[in-house]
Amino acid sequence: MNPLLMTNFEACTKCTICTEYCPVSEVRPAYPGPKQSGPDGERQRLKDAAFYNKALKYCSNCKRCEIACPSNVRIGDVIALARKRFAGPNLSPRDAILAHTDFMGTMATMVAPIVNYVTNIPLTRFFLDKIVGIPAWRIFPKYSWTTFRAWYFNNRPDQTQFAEQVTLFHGCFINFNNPSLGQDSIRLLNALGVGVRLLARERCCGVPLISSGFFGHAKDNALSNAKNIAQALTKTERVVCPSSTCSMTLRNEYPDILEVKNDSWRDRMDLLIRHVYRLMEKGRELNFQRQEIKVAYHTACHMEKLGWSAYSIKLLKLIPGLQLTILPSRCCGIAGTYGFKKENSEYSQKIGAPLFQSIRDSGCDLVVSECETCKMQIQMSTGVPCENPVTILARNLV
Amino acid sequence: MAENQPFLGPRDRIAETDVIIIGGGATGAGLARDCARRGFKCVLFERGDLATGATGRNHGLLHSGARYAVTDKISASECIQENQILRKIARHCVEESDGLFITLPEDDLDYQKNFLAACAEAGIPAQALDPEEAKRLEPAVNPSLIGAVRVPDGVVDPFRLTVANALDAVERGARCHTYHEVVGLIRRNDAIIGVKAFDKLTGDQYEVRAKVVVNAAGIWGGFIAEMAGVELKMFPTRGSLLIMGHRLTQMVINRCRKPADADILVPGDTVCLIGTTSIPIKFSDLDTTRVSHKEVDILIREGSLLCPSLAETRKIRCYAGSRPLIADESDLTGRAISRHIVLLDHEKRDGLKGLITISGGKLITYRLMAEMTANLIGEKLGSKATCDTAQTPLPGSREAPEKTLRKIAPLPLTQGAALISRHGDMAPGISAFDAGENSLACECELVSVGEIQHAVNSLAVHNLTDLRRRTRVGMGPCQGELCVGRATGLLAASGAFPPEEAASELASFLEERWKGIYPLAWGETLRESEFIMWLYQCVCGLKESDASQKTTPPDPLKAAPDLGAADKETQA
Amino acid sequence: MRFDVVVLGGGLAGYTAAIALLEKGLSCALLSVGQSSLHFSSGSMDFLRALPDESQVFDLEKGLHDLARQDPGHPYSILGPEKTLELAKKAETAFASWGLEMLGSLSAGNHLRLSPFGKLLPTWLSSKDTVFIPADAEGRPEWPWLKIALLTVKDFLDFNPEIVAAQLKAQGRATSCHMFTCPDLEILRQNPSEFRSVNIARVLDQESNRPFLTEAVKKAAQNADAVFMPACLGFNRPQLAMELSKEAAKPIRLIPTLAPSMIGARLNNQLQYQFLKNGGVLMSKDRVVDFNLVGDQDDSSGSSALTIERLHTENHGDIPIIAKDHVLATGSFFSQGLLSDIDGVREAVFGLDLVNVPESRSDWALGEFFGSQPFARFGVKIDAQTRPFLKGRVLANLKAAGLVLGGFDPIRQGCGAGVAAVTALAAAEAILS
Repeated sequence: MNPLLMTNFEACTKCTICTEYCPVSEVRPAYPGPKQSGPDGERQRLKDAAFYNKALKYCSNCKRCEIACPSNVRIGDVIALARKRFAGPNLSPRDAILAHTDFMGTMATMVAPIVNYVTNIPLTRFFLDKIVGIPAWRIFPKYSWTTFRAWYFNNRPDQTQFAEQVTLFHGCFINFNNPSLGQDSIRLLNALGVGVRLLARERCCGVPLISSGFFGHAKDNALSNAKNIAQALTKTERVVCPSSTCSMTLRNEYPDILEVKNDSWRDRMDLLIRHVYRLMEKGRELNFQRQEIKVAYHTACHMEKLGWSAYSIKLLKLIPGLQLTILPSRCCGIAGTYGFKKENSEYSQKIGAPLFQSIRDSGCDLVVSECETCKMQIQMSTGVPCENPVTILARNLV
Repeated sequence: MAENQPFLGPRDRIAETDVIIIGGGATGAGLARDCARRGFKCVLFERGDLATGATGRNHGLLHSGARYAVTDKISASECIQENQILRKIARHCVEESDGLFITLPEDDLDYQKNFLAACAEAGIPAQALDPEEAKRLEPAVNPSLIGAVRVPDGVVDPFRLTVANALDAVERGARCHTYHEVVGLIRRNDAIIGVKAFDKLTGDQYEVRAKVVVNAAGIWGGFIAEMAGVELKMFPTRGSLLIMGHRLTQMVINRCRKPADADILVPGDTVCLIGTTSIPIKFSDLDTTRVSHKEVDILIREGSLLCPSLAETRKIRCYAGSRPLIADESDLTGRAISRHIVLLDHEKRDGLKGLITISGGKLITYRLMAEMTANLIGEKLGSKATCDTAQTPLPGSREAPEKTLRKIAPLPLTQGAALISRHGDMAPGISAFDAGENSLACECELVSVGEIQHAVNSLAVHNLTDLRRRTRVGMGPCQGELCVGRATGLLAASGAFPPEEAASELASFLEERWKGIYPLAWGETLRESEFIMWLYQCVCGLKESDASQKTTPPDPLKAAPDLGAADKETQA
Repeated sequence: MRFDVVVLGGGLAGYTAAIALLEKGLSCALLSVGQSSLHFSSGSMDFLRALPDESQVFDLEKGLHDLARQDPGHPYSILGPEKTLELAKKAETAFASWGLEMLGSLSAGNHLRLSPFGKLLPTWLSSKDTVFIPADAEGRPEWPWLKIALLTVKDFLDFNPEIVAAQLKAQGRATSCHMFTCPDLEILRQNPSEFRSVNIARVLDQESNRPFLTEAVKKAAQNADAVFMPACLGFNRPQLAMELSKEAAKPIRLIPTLAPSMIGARLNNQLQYQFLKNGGVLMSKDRVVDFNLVGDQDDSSGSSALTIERLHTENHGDIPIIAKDHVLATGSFFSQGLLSDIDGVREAVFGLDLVNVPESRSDWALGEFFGSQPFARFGVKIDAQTRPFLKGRVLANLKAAGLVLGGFDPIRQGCGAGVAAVTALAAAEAILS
């Protein structure tokens, strides 16, 4: 285990502030809460593994407890590591389906229209609900007919014309469900005079695997990605990613949870929007057309953990006419694949309810968030469209 | 469940009995058990709570005897014999952790050879390990070790052990009166025929007559002897220990060398302890249980040699106890200290009938000391009853934990495990029928509302400090933060003290805890201290006048200036 | 990233300084390492409860002058009693305009608040839904009510009505204890460790649970002049206690609980809301890891000032935070504005000069829990413009405020919130001038 995390829990002063910021313990009595699951439980587990509590799986890994903690206790990490050490293998086929986003994506994309049709017909939904354990009302993300990678290699605009290059870590969602965000990413970077490459091979960052307890598979992915990222960084200055969750995983969860070292490249792996800001601070310019639109910015949990929402906010303000509201930072409840599991779904919606209310209250036309699963949850629960800031910026380029 | 229901009461008084035992440490409680099981009527008087003297102020080490193998063969064989017995009769008080005796580069590896030979001679199973193997078994151990021996050391919880003995005694008809101070002995001609007891909770004083009075008051036994007009030469030596907030190792770690300062690291429950120092003190300082900053530095320095991460690990508490060392009567100069069990029949020694003193020994040999004493009492009473304490499990250890766990299945697993680790097979007697009873008052140590109510109703808990010894409330890294505020409310509601006195009970508890914290006020411990002070002084408005207002039960120190007293300290 | 001002610390002092600056049109970022100690406060703000000679303070103006004589190193004394008074009055106006609905004022002197253990404590400002008891010139309570009903939530462990009732009885009040629950609370109750004030408030604030609440309050109010409840309602609906008062036709007032303090957390949220509303950029969970100073570093005379050029933080890495001015409001040990280890004490961000730190560790803490702890007085040294020092040199574009300051004992003197508010406004003034 990361030696830093070995004794980090003992900084806990039992102040219970994490409890106040835990979106799960507020609505879910079976979850022992962050303090009890994290630092308190860790002392017990060090005494005897019998003190491992299976209810730790109800933690959604949002890390809001860590952000609130005035004592720097890495509560979320302590819980994730306890699950890794004690929970044993996850044998649920449903969890395997949800967790293995790249494998499922590859299979589904091949037959995208069928999958998109089938996953949303009532009979399938009934089956998914009763047998598999994915609630009937959940809207599945649509699978794209071609993957982003396929599009990139077949149709990409020439990237070699740019003297400066970055590598894009696109993530599963762009690849299988939302290639247009990948295309927007390229458009935005190109407008800054930067060409875009892809990793020689990209696997799922591992976050859904971690949250469903497939730590071994997650580590395999991490090792592969680490190797490919290191390789890419010999050719380009940076690896960038539009997704807050993938970025957080690559930067933080690899060393802390999966024990895959990234210190040689961590500082050069960046959220795309932050790199855009960096380039503009160095003097690159972007010109935006006017758009009269009311936008509400939602700070996704992992964005909160990265601490980078200021970049998105600063950039969005550059679009003339755009009226920006910052929503109170709250979990939307989906927490990746968490909300897709039937046993979590009721709580998932309860967790998100205050956020949904503040979205409705804001009267916005559009929600902006760097997280793809927040996007799904917000769209489904409020009917308000939700986009990555990269999309908004790219589509308003002059 | 009724047969499992333990009870430490009642407090009703009797005027006459066979045996009076003065002192509620492990020895006194063990003796009460032995006497009661032999059919002797007995009353135990303890001026504070059970296990407040040396019993509760040591490492809690279940010695294998290895530590004494080279220097003291008698102690070594007594230890290994009692070690094996306690594993059987006091399962719920014991952790079978095993221990390592490590040799560091600065130590002499030849000592290890003598050590192994001596262990073999004393019948202590000792196995020399390859240093690499030792590191694999115990990753936190000093990696520069050059030798290691594995021995059957273990950990024993002195509070649980003492309470379990007292419970068995009471079950067999003995009376166990805490907060009763013996303020005088009744003498008729050449015999002690009873004691004057002062009930600190009610303020009453009364007399109880007995055929035999046993002085089992530990280091304070000298004062009892003085009352009887006989001389008992005792040498108070203070040992200080330090508690870390969590476990660094799973095994006991010793230095394989001649016993010295701060060379035993003991994991106990959720914490671990390093100790001890050894400083001769004056009788007038007997009750000064504060640990100096210098002692803290020594403990950290030496402890880090056993386990380097100890240096950086959070220290939550320090405490000190006085060993009940007594003069070796075979030594004519009167300067030599006996390291062994000392059983004095004052009839033979001083011509004073009816008084016996039991002292010396070790926590782990408490049962043997009780057996030896009860044998002598039997002789005096003309009884032929034999001792069965070595074969009969104590309350709490009568049933396999797995079986008990099934009985309390509805409880969350972690809480069930904590409950069984503290109360063994008595856990099902603790009410846990609804969410209110199951909710946690102390989150560090998983102590529920039901467990606190049980402690007040059945285990003679009269204040927050007693509660801590019975349940571990306030023994975690926060040393009594939010849990104590909650426990104060629960104790007031359960009738342990009236609500008017809640603030003073809480203030006294905080004052008492602070004695063991302030020498460690840096880093996280200082942060936490600032938080607790802010919470209870600023937010809640407690003051020193609250602490000084407390009258029941009185601080033994202030109540009995003539006897001196033990502070209510503890090991984990 | 560039800002006019960067505030380090997100507690009462940090937010107060930041909002005051934002209101003057300055751009402002606020960094905090975690949630603030407001979450554990009583929810009242203490200005000055007792002097170093232990006498209680009720006339605050007189108290400040006495303090200046007894304790010239106190931040109030460094600013001077007149300046302190002026700033404190400004703070009252500012808090009111930021939507912190507080009762009490400097000119009226200290009133009394009711603690979770039923103690009456002198204080400056209290949330309007808490128990507010006026005091006469000698500090004796002028009770508005004789018969008081204490109404608590069943099985709530962080508040004990019997203990409070016993204290109120000693004050000559007739008290009765009541409790209630509702199905949603029973669900939350299933959790052995999370039945805490804020979680309960989130349940009780829901409209669907209003009938249970109203019924319980009305019942408790029947034979009482006022109903006191533990502060576990009105978190998201700050008017709830007032609405209930109307329904029951009796005042319903809240008493703070053990941590987390719902009233304190609500104060924190209100300040955060004001900060964001005024366009502040909040950087939660970030800390300065490096900084760059310009100026004549080797100035042996020590007369020239140093200037902070840029900060580097844990989250922002290579992208520096550049500001014209800075406010250090990082708090004391608990909030990690001050750090200690076995060898010493230091200010966490810049290693600023400290006051009152004795050489030997054995002099940091007293052996008595209830004593004026030396460590409580440790902290940053400032001048009358709230400028701290680094090795004797003034840092020109840094001001310090709140509990990170040294020279006072917020626990014994009961002046933490007052010092935070006053020094924060002093820092903001110094920046604006």
